[in-house]
Amino acid sequence: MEFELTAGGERHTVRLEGRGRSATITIGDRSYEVDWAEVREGVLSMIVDGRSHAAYVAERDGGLSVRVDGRRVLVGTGARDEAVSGAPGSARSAGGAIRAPMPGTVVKTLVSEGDRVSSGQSVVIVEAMKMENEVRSPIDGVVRSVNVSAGDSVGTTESMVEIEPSESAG
Amino acid sequence: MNKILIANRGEIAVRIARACRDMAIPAAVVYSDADRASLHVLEADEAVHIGPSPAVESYLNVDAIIEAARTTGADAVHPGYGFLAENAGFAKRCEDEGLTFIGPPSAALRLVGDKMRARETMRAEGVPIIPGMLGTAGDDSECAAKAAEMGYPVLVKASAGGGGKGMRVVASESDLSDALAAARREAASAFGDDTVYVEKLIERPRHVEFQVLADGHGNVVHLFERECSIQRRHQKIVEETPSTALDPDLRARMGETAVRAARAVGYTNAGTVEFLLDASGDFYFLEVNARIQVEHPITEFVTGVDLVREQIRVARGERLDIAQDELRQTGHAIECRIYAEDPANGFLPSSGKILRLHEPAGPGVRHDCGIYEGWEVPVHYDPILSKLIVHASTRDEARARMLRALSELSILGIETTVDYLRSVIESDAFAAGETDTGFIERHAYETDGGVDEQHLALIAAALSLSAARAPRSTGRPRELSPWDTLGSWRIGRRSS
Repeated sequence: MEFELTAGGERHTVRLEGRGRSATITIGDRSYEVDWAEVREGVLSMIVDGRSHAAYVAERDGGLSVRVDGRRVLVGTGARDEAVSGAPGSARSAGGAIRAPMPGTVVKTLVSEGDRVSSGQSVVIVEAMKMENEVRSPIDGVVRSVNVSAGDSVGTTESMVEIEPSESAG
Repeated sequence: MNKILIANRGEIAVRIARACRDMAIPAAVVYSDADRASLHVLEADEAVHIGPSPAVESYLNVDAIIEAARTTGADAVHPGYGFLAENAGFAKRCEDEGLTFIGPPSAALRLVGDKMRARETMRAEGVPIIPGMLGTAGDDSECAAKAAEMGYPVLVKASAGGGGKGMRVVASESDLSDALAAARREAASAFGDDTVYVEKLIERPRHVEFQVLADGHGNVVHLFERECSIQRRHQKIVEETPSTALDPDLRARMGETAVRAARAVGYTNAGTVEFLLDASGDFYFLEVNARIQVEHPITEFVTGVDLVREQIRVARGERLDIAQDELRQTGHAIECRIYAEDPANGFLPSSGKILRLHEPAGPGVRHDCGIYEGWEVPVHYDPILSKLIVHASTRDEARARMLRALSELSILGIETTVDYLRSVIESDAFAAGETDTGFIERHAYETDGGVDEQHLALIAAALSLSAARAPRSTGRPRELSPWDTLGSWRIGRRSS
């Protein structure tokens, strides 16, 4: 079996051979002998070249969230473009639509239709979990529309502000 | 006290329910729509629904909570921290309704809750305070005049504030009016009072607080300090005791000042006197936190005193059974606060379902946890999930134990501060005890681990994907359980 996966922003071809509890796994020019068992759903015991590791695996952002040796690593599985590569702001704001990073309530909108905005400029203040969070524009451009107003509840899917990227951007 | 109503949620409600059970007092809790399946409901003896998910309609709804006390027959209310814990009106209402409020008297709460009056009271008692506005709060122009007089940077603070809410650092006059507006909005939403004031910003201070306990018979003791300098957005994330910045002389002077501050406001029950300590060893009164603190377990570890139990005993009218000269700090304790936040993305709150939870255990480890696997973290409340506390005989051993415990703790499904905290505890600056309130801004953080961790994660991901692909019946590798070796059988019948 072969998997195209990403970790730490890099793409890796991961090849898995073997049956049952023994597997040989090749990542790039390194290969690992692994004795493994799924001890319960999402919990793996892996003895890799003699060293024992417990790995916890769960779905996250269309990829997998893996915790092993006291570190959490996001692994992209290609299930949803680059959302797993560690840049949730840009992924969520693709196409100039700015969405709330978490469900909350709009406290204030800071821009109006036709305003010129620059990358990093705050456009909306959203309150979630009792904290005010400034949502910033990831790009330079012009505000095409403002779709929310103070007091609105927002989820992470609807577009709060649409930004038309400026020609010179990039 | 026949029954205690816990007017809170999450890990602190669970913590208080445990103290009640240790003392054989039934514990009733309240819950909102979003918290029907929360851990504090599962851990309580009785549970009462008090309203919709938004806190203003449930955990901040005084009438609903008083009514819950009535229906459960509770004769005392423990407010925990946050929500109504420092609301003098709520404490007064409990007093009027004949319920024991497990906290200070409403008069003391009113005094310390008004930061400006508290500052004046402390000044009159000879407790050092930070330079800044005294008397009534000003409008924008008065704040600007005071700020200009003291010189920037200044700090805008909510008079009713706490926990960093309604607080803004202002670097120059051009930012002042925006900061005042934002602080007022946040203060109004968090405390229902938008009064703000301006004080001088003490640069690179340490945040050192003293735990006090006071009974209704005139006895006040302090239980030493907690060093809480590591903060982000003015909220603490790592606390330890003892502080590396205190020697026995400074500790004694600050402790004595804390006791004096508690007496000055007529304080009873458990409370905390917060100080800022500057690089020259001068300290200033910051505020009194009139509640059980989030970070109380580190004090419990080094003193051996169960603070929630003492709160209940004092509220019952009992005397403190510990004297100042009997209290000792034994060993070193550290707490890490586990928040549902994304450190790689500006500590933005993260909500969702807890898909995996593995809790640390073993010697010197305490995990005050408010979550369980399969539970959905609601968006309506403070994003604290749990607190990890360790105790060991020295600071270095406590640090090593915290790293071990953080490695054991796995929470997947949402973003958390676990790995970030590990990087803080691992850092050279923390190892050297160089903690001040600017620590987090200077601390660099690598999110994705090194190549070794990434390869292990890729191996686990590939194995996990292959296991998910393999049909269950065909050689999917897993542990053999007794069921696998029994052969075919049916309950209540002999197998054919």
